[in-house]
Amino acid sequence: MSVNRKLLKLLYRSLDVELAEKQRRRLEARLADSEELRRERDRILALRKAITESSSRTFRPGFAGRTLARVRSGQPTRTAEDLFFESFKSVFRHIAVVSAVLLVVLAAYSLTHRDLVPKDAIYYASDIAFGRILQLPVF
Amino acid sequence: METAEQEVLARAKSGDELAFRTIIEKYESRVAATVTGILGNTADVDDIGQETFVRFYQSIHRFRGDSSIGTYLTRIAINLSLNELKRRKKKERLRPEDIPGDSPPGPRSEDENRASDARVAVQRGLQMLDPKFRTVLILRLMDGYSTRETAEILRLPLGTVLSRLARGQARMREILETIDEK
Repeated sequence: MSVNRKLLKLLYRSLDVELAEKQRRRLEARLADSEELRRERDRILALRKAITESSSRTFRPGFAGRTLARVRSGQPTRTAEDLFFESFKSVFRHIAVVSAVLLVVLAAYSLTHRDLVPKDAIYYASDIAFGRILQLPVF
Repeated sequence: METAEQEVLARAKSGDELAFRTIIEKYESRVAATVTGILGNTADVDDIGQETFVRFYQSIHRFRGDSSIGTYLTRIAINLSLNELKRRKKKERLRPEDIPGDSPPGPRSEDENRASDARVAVQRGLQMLDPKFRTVLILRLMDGYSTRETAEILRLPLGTVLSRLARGQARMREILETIDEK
C-alpha cells in the first residue's frame, strides 16, 4: 500500500473523532492531492457501512415475553456460588495436572539420578528380597 | 437520563412488570446488535439476550442511573457475551455452520443474494476478529456509540479505543479479502 502509515492513521481517526484544525487541514490537502488516499477513504467507508448493515437487531419473536417469564420464574442465572465453584473447579483442574506432572518428574529424577529414594521403600522390598524373587522358577 | 426513562425505571424498581417490559422492548434491538455482533447469529444469542435483562432486573435496585439504561445493559451484554466466547473456546463449540449464513425462506433476487452474501461475509469476518477489536467495532459501528461512550462502556482510555478501531478495521479488511479469495 502506497499510503503513508501516519496519514492512514489520521484518516481512520478523522472518521471517529474531530481532528484538530491543523490535522484536519493537512488531511484535506492530502486528500485533494492523492487519488490513492481518496480510494483508501472510500474503501474504509464501504467497510464501515458493511459492518453497520450486517448488524442483526432482533431476537426471535416474543423475546420480551420469554424474558419476563424467565424473570418471573427466577430460574435462570448462575449464582455467585455457581460462578465460584466453576472457577474453583477450573483452577483446581490446572493445579491437579501440574502437581501430577511434577510428582512424576520428581519421582523419575530421584530414581534415575540421585537415588534419593531407596528401592525397598519404593517397592516395599529390599535388594535381598528382589534377588530371591528373581531366582524363583517361573513355573 | 431522560425524565420519561427515570419514571419507567422507578416503576420497574417498584415491581411494575409492564414498566420492565417497556425497558425490554426499548433496548431489545440494541442488546441484540451487541450480542449477535460478538457471538454471531448462533442459537444461544437469544439466551444471552434474556440473561442480560434478567441480570439487569436482579440489580435494578443497585442501579443509580449514573449511566443510561442502554449503556448499562450494553455493558452487561458485552460481559456475558465475552464470557460465552471464553466458554465456547474452551469447549471448542464454535463451528462455522453456527455463524450466520442462513438463507431466508423463499426465492431471492440476485441483488438480495448479493447483499445477503456480503452480510454473511462481514459477520463471518467479525467472528474471526480478535474479541478486543470486535467489541470496539460493534459498539462504534453497529450500536452507534461515540468513541467516548465506547471508551466509557469498555472502561478503556479513548486512545486505546481509537487505536483498536483503526487496527480492527484494517484487520477486517484483510480477513474479508481472504474470504473473498476463497
